[in-house]
Amino acid sequence: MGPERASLAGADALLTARVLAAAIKQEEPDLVICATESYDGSTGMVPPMLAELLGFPQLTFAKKVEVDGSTVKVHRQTADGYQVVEASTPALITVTAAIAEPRYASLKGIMAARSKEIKQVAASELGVEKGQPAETIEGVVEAEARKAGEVIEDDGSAVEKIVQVLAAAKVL
Amino acid sequence: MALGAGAKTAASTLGKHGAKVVHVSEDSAFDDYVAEPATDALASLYEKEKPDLILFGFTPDSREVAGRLAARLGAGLISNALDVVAKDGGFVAQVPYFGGAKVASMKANGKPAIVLIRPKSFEASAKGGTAEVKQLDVKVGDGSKRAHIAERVVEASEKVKLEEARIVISGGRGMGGPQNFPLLEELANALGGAVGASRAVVDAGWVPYSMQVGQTGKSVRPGVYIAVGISGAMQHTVGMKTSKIIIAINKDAEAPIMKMADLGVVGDALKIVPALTAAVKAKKNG
Repeated sequence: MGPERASLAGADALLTARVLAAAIKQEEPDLVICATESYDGSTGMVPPMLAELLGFPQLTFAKKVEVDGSTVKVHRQTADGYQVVEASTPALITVTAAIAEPRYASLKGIMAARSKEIKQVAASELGVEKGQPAETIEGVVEAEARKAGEVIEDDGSAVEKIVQVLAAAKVL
Repeated sequence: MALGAGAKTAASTLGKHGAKVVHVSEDSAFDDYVAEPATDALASLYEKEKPDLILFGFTPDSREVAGRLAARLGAGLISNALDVVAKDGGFVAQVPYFGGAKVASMKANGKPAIVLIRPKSFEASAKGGTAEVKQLDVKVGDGSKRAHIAERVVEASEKVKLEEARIVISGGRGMGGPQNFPLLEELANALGGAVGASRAVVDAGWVPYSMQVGQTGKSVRPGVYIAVGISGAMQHTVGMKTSKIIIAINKDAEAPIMKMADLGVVGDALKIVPALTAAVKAKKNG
């Protein structure tokens, strides 16, 4: 899809951020681009931790990004609209899923990717001590499921049935 | 701690809900710059008070501050938690994983522990107390005034707030397109409710993000939730499954939402919703 190089990492949020910060520092970037959160843990914590460790300002939840020289400007999504947020680079931004459709990997791109460098580095090579994890998972259980209720085919009587449920719930 | 414009008013509300001491500062830097000024204020208060536990709401602004603070203090952090209890000298919280399919029990090992609680995890209960308000002695340095909020644009013009509505009517892909969302608004108006949406239709640009219900959107807990044309991905249901009554309207009888709805209606949403609006109006007027 386009990146020149890729690196791999994996751990709790703070250790992830420490490893990423150490690796990113070596690249001296103007702009670090993250997603808002991962799908598994959904903690959303790595980007602000990374910004703090790099000493960068953070411009987050961007649904639009403009870079003009050493100024980065984003439209930061909020609960009721958006904010225009500006900072000087170097900076870290997080972008929402709505910012762009990922382009399809072309056959040419897939072929070219094979020859691109993927650096595997040990945390210790980056000078990151693993130490005691900040958090540990004690157990994982299936989320409590709601019980299924009644399912009806709409044969013209569905509206009446919904009205009855609304009345019983005292919202009508 | 309450920071920015309205902090003192917030302190009084917090007092009514059980807070004993609220540290406030109405310095405009907290409203004008992202995360860094608030991180400075919290870090400096932490040094003075040395609490074992620092709690935040899992809201967009708070989580940014919490992340920076955890990195600065080297603290253990549990995000997106449903609760928190003290256990074996640390803190344990229940956290939804994989969009709510699983629940992990997570322990923060060090002190301080930072825990972010998902909105609507607890009912807010006003006990009627008064908090002691302490003025925060913190000067925000220029070094933390970097990510500047230059402008605020309000797009939502909702009459009823989604999070506070007694009835929420949400639409998904099954609505066919943005041109059909007014059908949901008409029903919401008739019922005095608010309109929400699935992530799919927000990402597709049909409706603004302010309407999104789910993991990456708002969490709601209304008396009645009506899911129209929403299949019921975990991503969505984690934000609405504690609703008291769930009604689903979907053309697919096998959609996951049907397995959690109190009433599932298999049919054409574009016919059922207008008919329902008419029936609600008739009942109210009759």
